[in-house]
Amino acid sequence: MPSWVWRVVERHLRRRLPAGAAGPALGDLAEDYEGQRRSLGRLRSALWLLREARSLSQSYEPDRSSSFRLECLWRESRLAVRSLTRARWHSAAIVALLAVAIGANVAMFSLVNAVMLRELPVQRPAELVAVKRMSRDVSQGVSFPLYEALRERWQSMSGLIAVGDVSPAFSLDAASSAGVENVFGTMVSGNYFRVLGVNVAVGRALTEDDDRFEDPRPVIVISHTLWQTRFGGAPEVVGRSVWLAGSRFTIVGITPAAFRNLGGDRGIGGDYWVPLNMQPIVGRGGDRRRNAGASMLRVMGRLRDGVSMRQAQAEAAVLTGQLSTTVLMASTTIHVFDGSRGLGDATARRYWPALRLLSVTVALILLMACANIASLLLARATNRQREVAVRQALGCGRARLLLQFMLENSWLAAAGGALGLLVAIGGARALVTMAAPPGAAGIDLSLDRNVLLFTLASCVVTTLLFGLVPALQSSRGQLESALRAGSRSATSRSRQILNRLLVAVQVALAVVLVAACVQFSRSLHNLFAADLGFDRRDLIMVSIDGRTVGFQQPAQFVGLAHELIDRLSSLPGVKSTTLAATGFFGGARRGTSEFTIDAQPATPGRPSLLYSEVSHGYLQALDVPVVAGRSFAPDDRAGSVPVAVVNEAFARTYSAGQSVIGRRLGMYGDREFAIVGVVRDAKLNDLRETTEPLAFILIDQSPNRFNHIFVKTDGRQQAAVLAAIRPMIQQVSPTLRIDSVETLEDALERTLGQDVFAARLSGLFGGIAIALVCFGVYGVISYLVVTRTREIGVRLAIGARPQDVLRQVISEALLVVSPGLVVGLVAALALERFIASLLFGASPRDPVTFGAVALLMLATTALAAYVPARRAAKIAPVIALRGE
Amino acid sequence: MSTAPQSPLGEFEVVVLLAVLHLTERDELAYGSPVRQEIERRGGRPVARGAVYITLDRLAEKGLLDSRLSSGSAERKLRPRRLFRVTPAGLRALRHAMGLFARMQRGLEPVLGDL
Repeated sequence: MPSWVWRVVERHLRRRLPAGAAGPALGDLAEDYEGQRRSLGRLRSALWLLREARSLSQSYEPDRSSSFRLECLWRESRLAVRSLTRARWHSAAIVALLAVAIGANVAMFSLVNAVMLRELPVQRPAELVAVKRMSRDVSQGVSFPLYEALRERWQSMSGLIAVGDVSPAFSLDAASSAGVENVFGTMVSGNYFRVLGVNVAVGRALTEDDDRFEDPRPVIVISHTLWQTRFGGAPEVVGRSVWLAGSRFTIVGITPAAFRNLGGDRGIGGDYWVPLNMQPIVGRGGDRRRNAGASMLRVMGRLRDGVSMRQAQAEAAVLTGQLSTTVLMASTTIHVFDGSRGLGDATARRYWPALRLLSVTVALILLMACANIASLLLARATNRQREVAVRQALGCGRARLLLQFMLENSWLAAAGGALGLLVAIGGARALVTMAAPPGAAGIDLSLDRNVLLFTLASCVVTTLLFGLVPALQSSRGQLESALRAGSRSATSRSRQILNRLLVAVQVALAVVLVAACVQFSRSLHNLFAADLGFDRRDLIMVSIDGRTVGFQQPAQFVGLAHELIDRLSSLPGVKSTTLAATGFFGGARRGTSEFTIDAQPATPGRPSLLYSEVSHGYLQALDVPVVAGRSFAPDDRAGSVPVAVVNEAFARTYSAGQSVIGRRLGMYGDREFAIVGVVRDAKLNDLRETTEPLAFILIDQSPNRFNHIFVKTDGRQQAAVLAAIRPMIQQVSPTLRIDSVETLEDALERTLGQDVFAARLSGLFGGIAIALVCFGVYGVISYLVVTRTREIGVRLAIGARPQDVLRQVISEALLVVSPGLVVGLVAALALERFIASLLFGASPRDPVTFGAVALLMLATTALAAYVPARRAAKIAPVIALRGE
Repeated sequence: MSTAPQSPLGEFEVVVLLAVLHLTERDELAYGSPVRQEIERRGGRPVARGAVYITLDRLAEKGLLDSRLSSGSAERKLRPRRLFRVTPAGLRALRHAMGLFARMQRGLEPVLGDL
């Protein structure tokens, strides 16, 4: 007898009947059923059983119209949990899939939230506007005079503040040799804390009195983080001193823990704040407070009560007209933007393209997971088909079944969402760590309402996405066919079509993801393999701050340079040592627009000239090829004719049809250098940059501060050399601040942060996508094999060989995925323009990429289908024919 | 004439009480299935299982039937049997109901014919 019918009836009656009544009633029913079975046969007795059970349950059902009351919902919901725990592994697989997919989405969202969406922790952030000087579409800094003019005239603003990033040498005691690394501050106008409405946690804020033009006070407010990390959180820190660029500053206050910077170029963290008028001490390039061309500030305003952004913008247009003859550079205009989320530059701008792309990626992963889960649920629906049919026969309405299935799905989504939130908390941190650019560590990833709402929304959407169709399918029971064991109804056929569709969708999505992943990997590979114009192998770049040694005479630097070169060259494993004023990949740059060629001033509009004072051997150590003329020679020394070597970009820009060799380059006001050679262009900061004109000058002939020491090693003892450099330099000059010691490979990797970030993450997501496809194909093909057990058995019985069956099943699988593959490839091609800007040297329409992706998908499919195919090939004909 | 019980019996309640009485008078086990069979046999038409069980429950609740559980057999998948017996109160209620019927039909024999 179909004992499962009895089991379903039993479960049903236990639910519906009062506790005491169920036992005896079931006993009577069992007894009568035995008798009926003997006289009626299997099928009719089963129908009889259902009729009887239905009669019982309907009599006891108190009030059928009220079956959707809250109490009932609670009961159904408990039933749903019980049903889920019965299918333990099935549920666990779904929850795991959801946890990964929702987790990835929430992690991504919390990043986006932290970088793009979160409002500043200040009073009424909605009133804040970022004020920018725009040159066409590019926003540029604001000079001191422009800021002051705007502050005096702008009626729409209740307050206008200015900030500028500074990073002078920071130390905790007067003559500290070590200094403190990686402390970055901001110089701010005196009204900064007042206009933002931020109260300091300890001590007092900076005030307008601190920030007088004449005689500003050397006071400093430090961040909560700096207070905790450098001062151990001691409250008596107020009143103590720190030294910035050798000048003493008194700590007057500590900001609250939640306060951040307004979003500066170095990321979101700000370590301290000093008065704006301290610029001559903490800023670069001397006192530039009267220089309308020195655009080092960024400005933010608070709108007056009742003034709209539009009104402020209208007034900005008027101000642009008034100021353009004085402090505002021609062809630039003043614009206001929403400032509630900060100045909205650097970090956000740098990461937004990658973030946007990755957000789409994780959304696709979620879609794939939904398709996968829907397949799983459909498979379960097949197993439950008979149960559902019986329950309907027992008087359970379709709405009620649907409710139960959706409740089950909601529980799954809730469990997946909760777990996903945990995944996300770890995941978001991991995402930032993977990106690892300086400043990203300051991104505040704490959970907030936005993130929780997003998680909830993901759960609801996913429940509907993965659950609705299977639930509708499941709730369609067909009694007769269900009771006839082994028969396959129309339902099961439509389910198969649905299943195939779901797999095709998954494959299409996976193709898009994997194609992106392959392109990013190739792009990253291209970046690392890119020709920089010099040899970066075995090269260590040491970044130092020459200002900290306190030399008065430039010539003193030459002495220090030679001593450093001699001492470092003596380290074992060092092939050569050289130094330069400018570095690579985020290192120092030096440039001037005041230079002459053959005594002619450079034409305005031409790019400014980058230059670098270097020691002998610099070009050789970096293996920069000489294209024309000669490199520096030992004879070029302090007393001889000053010479310069320029790069190809210089030659292209200034040759005016003739060779640049032999022409005179005028720099430093009144000095002239004979150009003796041209060397190949080298990438200085960014692999995507077009090389700018650059001139090399010998430090012996033009003594100046230098910022970088380059140590070329033999490659074998690099680690030892890396470790020995710092102590060695400190022996030579205890006051010289060392900012970093790193290989050029590492420096390059750092500048490729976004590319590495995109490639690693898309690799991760591509992997997940492939795993999901495997899972999906495996499920569908297993199901297919089960439904065709008889057919395959018959074929084997009439002489088909097992390998024929194997081949047939696998080709069936390939057939199932191929529409998805085609759609996916077309979609990937259509979407490539979204990622084109993030790629380097890889054509997005590269046929090799797409061919590889297609092959990969087919191989994955064949692999995933192999296991069920083997199972099919091993079907014993007798067992297959015997049925279930 | 006995005093009237709090609530009059419904027709099907009377039928079920009579069926239980029949079974116990014959010294047969009076539980759900035989009660139903008794009604169906004498009534000549099928009776819904649910109706019998819910009526038995209701009568037991009113104290007109009392019940005990006996251990189940393999045939019953080890479920207990709930055996019923008409209580004195049940008997009184039955008498009252039957008496009412008898009194009400008196004089209507020409119309109703021989029952």
